[in-house]
Amino acid sequence: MSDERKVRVLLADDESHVRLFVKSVVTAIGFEVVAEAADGKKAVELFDTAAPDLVLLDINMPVMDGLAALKALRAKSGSVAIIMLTSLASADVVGQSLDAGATYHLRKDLPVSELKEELRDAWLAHLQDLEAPAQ
Amino acid sequence: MVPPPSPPANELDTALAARLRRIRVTAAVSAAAFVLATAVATVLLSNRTLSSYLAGAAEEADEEVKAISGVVDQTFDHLAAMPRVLTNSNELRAIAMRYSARGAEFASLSRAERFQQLRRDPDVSRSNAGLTAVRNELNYDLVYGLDTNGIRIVSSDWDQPLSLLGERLDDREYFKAAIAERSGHMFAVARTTRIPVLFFSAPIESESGPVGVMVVRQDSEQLGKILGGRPLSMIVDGAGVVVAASRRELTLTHVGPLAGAPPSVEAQRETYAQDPMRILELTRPSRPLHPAEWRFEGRPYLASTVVLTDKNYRLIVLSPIESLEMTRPLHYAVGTMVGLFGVLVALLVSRRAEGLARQRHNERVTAALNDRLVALNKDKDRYLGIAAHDLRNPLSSMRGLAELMIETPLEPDQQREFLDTIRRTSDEMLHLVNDLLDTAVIESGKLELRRKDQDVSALVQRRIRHLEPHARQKQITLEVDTAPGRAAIDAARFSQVIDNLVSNAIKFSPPGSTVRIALRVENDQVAFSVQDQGPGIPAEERQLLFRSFQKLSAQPTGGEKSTGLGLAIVKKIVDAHGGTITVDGAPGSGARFTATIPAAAPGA
Repeated sequence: MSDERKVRVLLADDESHVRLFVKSVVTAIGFEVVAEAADGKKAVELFDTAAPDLVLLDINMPVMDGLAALKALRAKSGSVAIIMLTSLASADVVGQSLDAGATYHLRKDLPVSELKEELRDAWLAHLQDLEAPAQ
Repeated sequence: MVPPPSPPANELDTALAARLRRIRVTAAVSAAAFVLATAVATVLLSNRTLSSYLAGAAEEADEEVKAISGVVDQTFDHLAAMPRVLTNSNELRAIAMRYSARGAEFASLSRAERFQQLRRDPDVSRSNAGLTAVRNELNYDLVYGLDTNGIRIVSSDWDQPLSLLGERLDDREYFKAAIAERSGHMFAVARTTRIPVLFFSAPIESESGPVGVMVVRQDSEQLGKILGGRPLSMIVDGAGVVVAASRRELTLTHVGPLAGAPPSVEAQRETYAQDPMRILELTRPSRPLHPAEWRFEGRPYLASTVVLTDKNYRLIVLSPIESLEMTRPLHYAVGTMVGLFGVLVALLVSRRAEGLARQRHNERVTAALNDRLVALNKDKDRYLGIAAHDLRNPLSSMRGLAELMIETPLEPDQQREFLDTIRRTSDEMLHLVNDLLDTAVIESGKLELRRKDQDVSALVQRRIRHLEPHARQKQITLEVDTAPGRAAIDAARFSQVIDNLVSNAIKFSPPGSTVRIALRVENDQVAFSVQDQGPGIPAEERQLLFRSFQKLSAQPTGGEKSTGLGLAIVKKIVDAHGGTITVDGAPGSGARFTATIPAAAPGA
């Protein structure tokens, strides 16, 4: 993966203020939001054209919720990083999403600095996971 | 999650009232049936007991009466035998033959002359003394002899002042009977004493036929003595007249229904020297339990009758059955007590059943209340969770955006976007908090309306002016058609109804569509309706529509937020106005909400 190329992010959250905030954080750590969706169905539709490296999925969304979208996306791509955006650090939702192939889960109510750090660490961990089987 | 139905308190109360009524009716019917059954059983058992008692008593009385009749028969036999015994006396026969032989010569003398001659006859004097001794010895009333002309020639009362020695008595029945039938007895009232007496006569026989008659007279008082201590024993002649009785005053009365009709007035005067004759007041009891049961002088008796041997007389004994007077009331008293006991038991059982029914009712009410409280508490927890969640997201976004603005140098455009988002988000939060506070006020039952009669159409138009800009943003046309209508409403609260319904319509309508707002006044009702061209509401969601935090399938078309509280608040306000809210329209053809409220406040 080239250092010059920015990480492409697909962001899905039904709340516009969340999208604005998360997009700003993602941009601040040098990633690029290539597509935004207000619900899970829209996110799945945008996936192919946006070709993201990383998908940020809200759990509670209308039309198609985060878990359903996660399963649909995982069916499309086994390698894309999918990070669940949670506000309720609810164990069962986290467990379910990890079981369904989520890369990581991230609490969106963290302070900006922590959020940046967590997001970066999650991305790096994902890269290591991708490289590990090759070694 | 569907909140559980409110506790059916009225239903439970109605059920309790019905149950209590059933218990009371059952108790009353049971008690009445028991009392009736007890009364019938008491009467039947009492009658049976008394009937068998009376049958036994009657049998006993009959036995005793037979025994007494034996004694009476014997006495009669003795009395009848005595004159025959006396006719065997040679001395008496000689005297009778002597005076009978004088015949018409002696009979033609005056009574005084005959008396003198008889007193001077030493044979007569000796016989008189003998008869007096017999009379005294056997306790007879009188013993005497007659010659063939019926002249009393010997008599036990020869020395008495009123002695009828020498008197001619050939018209007497007992004399005629003795001469004609060779024996005889009869009843008569003694002409001189007015005492009922019985005569027993027998002819003095000789080779040439009867030469005289011997007579024994006994009075009823002496006969009464042999009837013993029984209070009501009577010897009755063929005409039903008492000739001797254990109670002296009963003699020469008629036994009434125990015999045939009393003798004629003439016969009463002739035979019994009674005018008129007293008739014993024997009556049948109103419900006789035995054929021999009679009432006399207010008391119950059993009447036993025995015909005396070969005589024209009967013995009637009235045996008192005083216990009958006591037994029946005793039976009835016991029956009444049993009946009262049954009523008491029914009362106690019904009280107990009522208590149990009340207890069960209270338990049910408590359980229902508890269920409702548990459900409400769950609801509250859920609301709190939803509210906290719905408030945390915008808050964390706003804090994040603020942080970014502080830490990161931003372009003015970006700054403006951040600030716009913060303002819009805080607006939404404020809206949610307001709705939550409203819901809290309404749910706690503290919604107080300040109703005032006013023009509703003016209020609708005022609110629409405020909502217009919002509609314009989504290119939605608001079509308003209001008729002038007045109603007593709380303007501030009804404004919420208008705002929520219209902004809901705008929220769920596609851009470019039309929302039709109408106000109609019909039958003292003001109907405010909002019709949109949105996705409509599926039938299965309609009942959930007006509950708190129900966000259903329809999605806002312009990315608006929904608190899930608006319609719940609308319903509560309309309800508080005494109105109704309905929704109709098929899915796909838009939804129409109609709030109908009375044109005037109740009682206004």
